[in-house]
Amino acid sequence: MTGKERYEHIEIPDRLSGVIQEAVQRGRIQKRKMKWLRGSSTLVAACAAVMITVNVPSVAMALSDVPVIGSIVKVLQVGSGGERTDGVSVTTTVQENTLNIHFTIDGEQTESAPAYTVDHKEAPNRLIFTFNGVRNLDVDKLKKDIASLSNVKDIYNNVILDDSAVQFVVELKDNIDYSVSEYQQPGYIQLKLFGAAKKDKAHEVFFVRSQEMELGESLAIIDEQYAGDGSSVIKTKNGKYIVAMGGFASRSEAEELLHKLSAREDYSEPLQVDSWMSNENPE
Amino acid sequence: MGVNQLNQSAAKLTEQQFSERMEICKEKLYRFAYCYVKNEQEALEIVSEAAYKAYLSFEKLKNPEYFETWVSRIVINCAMDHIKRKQKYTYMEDSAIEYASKEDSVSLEEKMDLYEALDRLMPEDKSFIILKYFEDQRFKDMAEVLSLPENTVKTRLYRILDKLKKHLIKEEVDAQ
Repeated sequence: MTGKERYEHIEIPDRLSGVIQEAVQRGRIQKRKMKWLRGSSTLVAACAAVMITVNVPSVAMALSDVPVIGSIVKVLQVGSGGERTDGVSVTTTVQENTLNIHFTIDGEQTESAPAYTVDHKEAPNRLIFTFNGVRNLDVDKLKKDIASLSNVKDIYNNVILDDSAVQFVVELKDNIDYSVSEYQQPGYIQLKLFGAAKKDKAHEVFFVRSQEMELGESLAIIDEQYAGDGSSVIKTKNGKYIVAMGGFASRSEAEELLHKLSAREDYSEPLQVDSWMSNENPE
Repeated sequence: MGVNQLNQSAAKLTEQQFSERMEICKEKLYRFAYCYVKNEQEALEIVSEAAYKAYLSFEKLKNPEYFETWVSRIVINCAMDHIKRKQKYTYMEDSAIEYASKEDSVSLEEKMDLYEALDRLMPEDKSFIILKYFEDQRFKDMAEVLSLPENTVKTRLYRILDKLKKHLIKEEVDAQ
């Protein structure tokens, strides 16, 4: 029997219709619940936001000039959160130095943010946002919105091999600090940028890097291959991209990593040790 | 173009029509789900979750003509999420098969049962084989279901086949 014949002979269980009907019934109940929730959630969200901003002074400060919609879940700089979702679209809006990242399914805002991670790396100073269970990212709108933020240097979306996830990088200007807040009902993420309290002096940073190339699958494959080694995609001064691992204070540490990587069986892409200033992009 | 954006003009589905269309394609959806997990209970769980999600948003489907494409996509997403949650399968590694010879002329279809081969693929790769070889879909239709450009579908499918072929060769070498 061929594979196709085996596929066609998969036995259909008698209870299939019943299972579908039961799922539809579950859907009916959920729809009724959602209608009820929509009516009552606005008041609950407003109360929750007021309570939190009163009790946590730093959050109150971070949000002071931004109208609050929804209730806050957490404030973080590096970390993760959100809930499992599927087929979410990502759009953005801006208010002064605040970027709001919204999530919709079929045009309606989601109750909570999709599973996300926020990572911060230097050389250059950048934030890496990854959203899972997301299939559409309005890149043009994102770039336009980011361009209107005075504290942002650049924005680019990374190609990643998982088609149910999106990733983008926000490069910050020198001595800019940030906070990331997650909200629910509706679910959105807010990136707030402000001048850093402590000004860092630019210093040389050492990496193991790939050759520069265009954004695309080849780059994504290298990034995935070295994901366990802390790899990230960085835009070069020429507007192309590299995969880089490290961020070391000395060349010897980077050389040691390169030595380790090149000894691996899956090592194929020529990598090299390079360095650039912490507030600059690589050549 | 995504399934949701296929047509702006057609009338919306009624609840009755939703149930009728689910009834028409239920066996296809079940086979689809079954291929991911090869287990009746889990396949029913996937179909159940997909039917639930489809019910929640069928009124937003702009063109009922694409109902089957749309609901297939939901089943694929539910199946992938189900597998990710369970994480009980071990998939073949790219790195382990690099040495396999490209010149080998073994016909994949001759040597390998694609139905069995599904078990070795990453969840996101399984859909390509199911749609192409079991559902006999054209690349254009696959692109609609998978929400990917047609060329990407072709490239990905050929890469998956190549990976399977190399894996088969490696197995043969190991067996000798």
